[in-house]
Amino acid sequence: MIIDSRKLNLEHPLETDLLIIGAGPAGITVAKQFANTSIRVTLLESGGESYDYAAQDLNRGITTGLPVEPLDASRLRLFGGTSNHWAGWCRPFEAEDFESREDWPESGWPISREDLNKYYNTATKLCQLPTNKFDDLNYWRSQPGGSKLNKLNLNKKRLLTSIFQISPPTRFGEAYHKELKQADNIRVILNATVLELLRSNNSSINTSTKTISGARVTTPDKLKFTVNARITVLAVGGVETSRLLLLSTNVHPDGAGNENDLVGRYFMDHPWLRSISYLRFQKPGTNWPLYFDKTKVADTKIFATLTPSPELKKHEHIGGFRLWLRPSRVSSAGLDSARTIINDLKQGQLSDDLTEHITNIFSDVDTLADVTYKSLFQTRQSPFLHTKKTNDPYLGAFIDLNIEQRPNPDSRLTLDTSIDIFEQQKIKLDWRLHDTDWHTAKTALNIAAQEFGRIGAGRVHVPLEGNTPDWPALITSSNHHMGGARMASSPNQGVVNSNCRVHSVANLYIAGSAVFPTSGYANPTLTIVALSLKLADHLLEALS
Amino acid sequence: MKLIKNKKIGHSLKINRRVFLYTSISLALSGSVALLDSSRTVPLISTEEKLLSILNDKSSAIIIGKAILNKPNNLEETNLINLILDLFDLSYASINTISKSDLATRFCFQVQNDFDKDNIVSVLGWRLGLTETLLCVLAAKTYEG
Repeated sequence: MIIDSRKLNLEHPLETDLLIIGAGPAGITVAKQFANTSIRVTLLESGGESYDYAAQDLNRGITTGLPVEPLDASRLRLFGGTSNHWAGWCRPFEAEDFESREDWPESGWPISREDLNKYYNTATKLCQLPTNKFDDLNYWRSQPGGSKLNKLNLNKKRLLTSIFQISPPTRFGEAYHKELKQADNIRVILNATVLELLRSNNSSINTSTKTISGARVTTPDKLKFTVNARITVLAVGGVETSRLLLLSTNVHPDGAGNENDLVGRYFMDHPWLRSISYLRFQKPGTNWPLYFDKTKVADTKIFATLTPSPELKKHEHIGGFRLWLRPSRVSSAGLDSARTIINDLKQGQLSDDLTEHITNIFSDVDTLADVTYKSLFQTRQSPFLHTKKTNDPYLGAFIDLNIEQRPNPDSRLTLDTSIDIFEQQKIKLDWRLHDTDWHTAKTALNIAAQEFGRIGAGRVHVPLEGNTPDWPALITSSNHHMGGARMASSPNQGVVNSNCRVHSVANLYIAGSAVFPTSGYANPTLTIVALSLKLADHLLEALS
Repeated sequence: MKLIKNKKIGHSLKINRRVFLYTSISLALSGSVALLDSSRTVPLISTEEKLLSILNDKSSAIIIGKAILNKPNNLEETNLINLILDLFDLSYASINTISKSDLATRFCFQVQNDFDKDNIVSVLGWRLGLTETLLCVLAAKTYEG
């Protein structure tokens, strides 16, 4: 059943076995695992079935620190959640992403990649991908459309070719609407915004392990109601999870699960340096379809990125990263000249070859306009760069870089003093990086330059210099909100345990990327779905 | 007569042998000296030109070379050609005999080796192999004085 909160009979609290808050990929994944069981499931969604400005407004927040996209633009509040504007990039986290590293004391998951393997297999299906053979190039080559795909001959101790599959993308609200609607035991309530979690009457605020009775909810008309549940799952994304926990001060004065001041801390994203480098080809006309195009093969699209080997990460003490190439039919001379002039001006000088540089800038004005536009407006698209014919040879490739940021307790979500329409404090995001992240970014580009030089592909321009972080203005987030309720074996180090249960609350679980202790380099959705499947397995057992 | 003749012949043969020997030794010695000298006396520009002939884009090479020379370096004092020849595993003698295509092959191999061994130089933000960087400096010094 799918129903609007305004049509509910709100005279009495709603009763359910399993309350899931949030109908994005995580919430829907957990809910659908219970379809047609004897367990009563209530799935609450703050938005409706389609985009609604009033609901979306609730996503507004305050951002400080490094630039991120506005919080009401990077997330969606409607049935299906942020999957409604998801780009679809899928890849599991690497085995080493789950491991503890001596040089990163904040690293390590209390579960291993092996624990997630079977769930990753199911998750690939839920994300409508044809196979879990991500890096098996022989498989892709054997499929229609795949014969032209070849890997670069990279030194495997430095860089690896890591293949992403692109989901259609799955809009979880659309894809699983029918299944949820038809399941007798599942009740989806739309336009139901949770205001706070409620502590059970028989649970003292001072005990180390509390229980909650459910949640206090409001309709868009501000009619309040309560949902009582044996178990509650928060599945509201990497930002809203911290907000709801912090707002739930009747569970604990500092917020539910926040006995150790960890809720909201260790917020992570994948810092994105767009067109940060340029690879100028040694041979014009170089074409690497596996790395340049999202190739349609075997009912999906695949795309390769360059990622660090485990040895490189260990040796250089860096995080993960992915480099991806966007081929260009225009030269980068204008861009280089502009950078040279800017650098000279910063030092109070004028270049000896000023005339030559200005000529380059004029001849490459399209490229410059394109890069400037994208940097200024933080967008992937620009109205420029359409002047070159598609049969012109590729002269080079712009390099985009996403890195895994080292977990940083000072990168955090807190409650702001401003309030929303329901008089709830808005969230404030202060996204910060660690000095290690600068080293990761610099090393990534230098290693790429080394490997492209070694294989005779071309030369790379690396604009990051020096040992002190000096992030270029074009750095931005990838809208991959992670952390804030990290997973750890000990309550002193994390908010949830290996089963995603809040350490200090016996019947409160968290589904989604908020629990990630580290972020790897891969997009989080596939791992969110895999973890949600694991959680659903655990809850099926607990509730049965 | 025959004897005289023979003697004459013999004598003349003996003289010729001596002349031949002396001449040969002299020639050999002078040739060696000439060969040795040739490496010093043949204008260096020919070796430079041979090395620089493998550059596809001389103007870019000069810009890069100038950028390196504009920064503090010790390349003025260093014999660039010796350095480059060493990297190519060539001598002054063999540079004259090696074909341009063989030289280009050695260059490519050496540059790739530079990248593999992390002999990488940053010039104006571009990451270049040591060997190609030295060639750029040589180009700047040769063509721009």
